[in-house]
Amino acid sequence: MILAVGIPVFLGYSRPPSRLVSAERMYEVMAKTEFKPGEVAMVWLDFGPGTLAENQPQAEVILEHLFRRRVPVVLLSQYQQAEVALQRVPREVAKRLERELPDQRWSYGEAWINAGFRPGGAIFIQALVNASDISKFLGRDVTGMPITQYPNFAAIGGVERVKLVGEVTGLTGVFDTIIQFFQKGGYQPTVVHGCTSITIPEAYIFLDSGQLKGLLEGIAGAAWYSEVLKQHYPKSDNTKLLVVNTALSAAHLVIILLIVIGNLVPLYQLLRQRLWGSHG
Amino acid sequence: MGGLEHATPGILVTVAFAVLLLLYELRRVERGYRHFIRRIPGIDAVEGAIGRCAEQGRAVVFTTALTDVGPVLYACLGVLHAVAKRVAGYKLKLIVPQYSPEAMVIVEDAVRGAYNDAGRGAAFDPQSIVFLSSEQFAFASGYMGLVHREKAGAAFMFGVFAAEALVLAEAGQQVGAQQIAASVSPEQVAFFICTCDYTLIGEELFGASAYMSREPVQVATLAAQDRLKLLFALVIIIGVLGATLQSIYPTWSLPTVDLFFTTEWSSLTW
Amino acid sequence: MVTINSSDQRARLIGIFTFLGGIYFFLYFVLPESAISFIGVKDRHEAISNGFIVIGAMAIGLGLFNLVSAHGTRIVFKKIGWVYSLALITGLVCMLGVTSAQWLQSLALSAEQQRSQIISEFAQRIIDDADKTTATLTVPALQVRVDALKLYGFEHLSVLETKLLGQRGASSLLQHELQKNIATVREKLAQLDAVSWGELSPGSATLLKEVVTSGAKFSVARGAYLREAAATTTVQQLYTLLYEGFFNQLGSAMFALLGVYIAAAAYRAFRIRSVESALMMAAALIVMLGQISFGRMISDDMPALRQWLLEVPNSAAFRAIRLGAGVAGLMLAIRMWLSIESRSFSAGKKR
Repeated sequence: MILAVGIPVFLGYSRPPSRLVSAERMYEVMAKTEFKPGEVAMVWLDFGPGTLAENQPQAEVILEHLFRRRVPVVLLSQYQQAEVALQRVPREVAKRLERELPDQRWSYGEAWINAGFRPGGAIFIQALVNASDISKFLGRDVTGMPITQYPNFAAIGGVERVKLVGEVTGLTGVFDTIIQFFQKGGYQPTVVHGCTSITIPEAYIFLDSGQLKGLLEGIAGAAWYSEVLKQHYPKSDNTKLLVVNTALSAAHLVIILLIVIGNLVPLYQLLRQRLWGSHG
Repeated sequence: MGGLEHATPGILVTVAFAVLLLLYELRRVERGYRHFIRRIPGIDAVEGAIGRCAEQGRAVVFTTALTDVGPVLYACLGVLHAVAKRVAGYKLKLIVPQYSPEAMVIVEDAVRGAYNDAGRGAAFDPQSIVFLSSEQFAFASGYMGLVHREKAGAAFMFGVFAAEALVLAEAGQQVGAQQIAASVSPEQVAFFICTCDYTLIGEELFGASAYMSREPVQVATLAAQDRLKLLFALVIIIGVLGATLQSIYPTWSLPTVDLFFTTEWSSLTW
Repeated sequence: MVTINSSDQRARLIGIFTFLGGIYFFLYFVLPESAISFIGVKDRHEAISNGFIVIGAMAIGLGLFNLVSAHGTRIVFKKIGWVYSLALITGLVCMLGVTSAQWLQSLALSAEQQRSQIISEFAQRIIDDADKTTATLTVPALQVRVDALKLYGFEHLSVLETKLLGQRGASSLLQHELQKNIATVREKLAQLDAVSWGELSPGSATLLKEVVTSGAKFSVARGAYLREAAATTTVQQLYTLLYEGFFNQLGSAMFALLGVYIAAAAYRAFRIRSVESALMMAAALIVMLGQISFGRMISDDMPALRQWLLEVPNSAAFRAIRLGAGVAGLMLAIRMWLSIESRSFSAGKKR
């Protein structure tokens, strides 16, 4: 297993990812959602070190797309261990974009703000949705600065001005809370979700019912999304992501091989007993 | 506009109906009505698993994993009470590793009650309720260590599980424990099916405590939830028929079932 | 004669509070906004919610107490495995100590940054107050407030510049950025002398808004500078080592164990023993092959087949399980709300 994962990573070997329709649909949704001046996207990074491997690439592609579109992003989390992700992911995406486009800047306070970990789960989300001004409700960001001091986030207003909600998580129950409570009379946000491979089956029921408009299915979803992004922004660099996706694919092959061997061995023993057992 | 607006008059009516249904079933059961509960093989195996531990002199481990205080915990407590009562009767060691400090207090209460009901209140050891960690994988590694050190003979895993489910189940596999699992998280059911001797799926967890204890309150709850599920199934069938007819005969204007659930307060005229 | 004993009274009180808490949140969720405002609860909901969140956070003490009592007993009486209990308690104490120190340090940093924020916040406040009618507001005259703003601003910036000369720790890039912002704020404050402050005209409001904007950028730069300088302190480095170095990495390592366990389970348990298990195996293989890069080598239709499996049979099964579990959860929640308890959940025997 170590070899299967390690060889592509060390050699930098990558293969084109599998085409995932859900990721393509998500791209269309993210590209077509209109943001008027003052409107924002709210992205929840509810993952920690455990699911970082799958969720971080998803967060990166979502933020990359929003940053390219110059959509102001409010980042926050319901998970206390997401602190590292909240700080690191947008910075890395911003640096990558600035390397690609040296004449442009994506800086904290303009492209995004980090509202940090907010405890309370469903209670907090209900209060957020019912607030008349989200900027004032959220109060200060993690740097201690009042959110109303940032021009792009100064007067977000009510939740109707949050046009897109992104939820990137591998935790159970957290995504459900967004679907259930991040809405009110006359307002339903466009919700997109980045999930781990384990929770893909569960996310599909919401995709099918229309409660979810886009889905990134594990690293494979993030990899295909990055390929679609690359078609529209050719200079976008997704090499690292494709290498990781290839390594994961190799690990899947090892598991398939083990399943096949696990079935062939008893079959062989059974056949041997039936064919030669009576002579023994 | 897609999706479902949850805060509608239809939901209020549905919940009110559910409350009345529960009260009705409670009344019925109190008056002596006996409900039939179908056999759940996983629960039938509990007695055998504990008996096996008694023969081998091994400990019994019962975990509610990542379950916080809520309906799922209460469902697990019913099973825990029944298991603890049997364990107390056999004079075995019971270990209940805990993830949530709030749930731990309630669990301790339930186990103490079970020991009292078994007439062995003095044998209850509060230290059998072990708080491991509120961190998912720290809990998992603590559980693994516990199961290996105690060489558990039976492991019961009931509640909310996430990625650590397979780790917990493998730990029991490694020491040869008989394992019975029940998870409300459907995605973990697949892992349990592969590693555990018996797996309860979805609402079987909620029915398990009624099945084991046959207590009036729990049986009434089970009956009420089954009736409500039947009603929802009927609504689904009517809705599907209506939508199918509508698509075959587009000129017909049939009312859709989801109107009941999606009509907002502002649409109502008084 | 009926005697009501104290445990009955306590149970009744708990039942009343449980009912009130449950009905409050349920009605707040279900009723329309107009009804909530009519009752007069809308403005207080945030405070009520925060109260519930705080109560939930108090549970941290329960876990700590259990850990210390269980493992402390083992250490004191040198029971089997006491060394591991000692390691746990040592880790607990270290983490608590370092986190507390880091928290105190960040409080000090926040206080320092807030001193820089005063410039932009006060300028914003002057603009906001001028919009309100003076009859309802008792504040010093506009000129007095603007003078106070300038005095504080220039003084704070001078002190800061002096500090920056002697300070080390943050990168020169951040220091340069901060100095640039200080110069900008100084310039905007100086421009306030150009107008008279009898009342707030559109021109003077624009000048104040520029102070707000430049002041906001300045305090962000100051915050970034302070945080980077603090990153080199012993407390922060210890915290980073323990949290990001140990805690996060151990969590990732434990999660990575899943890969090994899945491999073991794949070999041991995924056996085709019946028609159902054969179907399950086929579905698993299609889903896995459809998701990975190598699936296309077998067929281009793999992803589409996988998609169908997930959208149709899988969704049906998951919906059924979720519906069943959801309804069961609803009934149990109603039971909890109405405090209809069964004998299982109490320490003593009930009648």
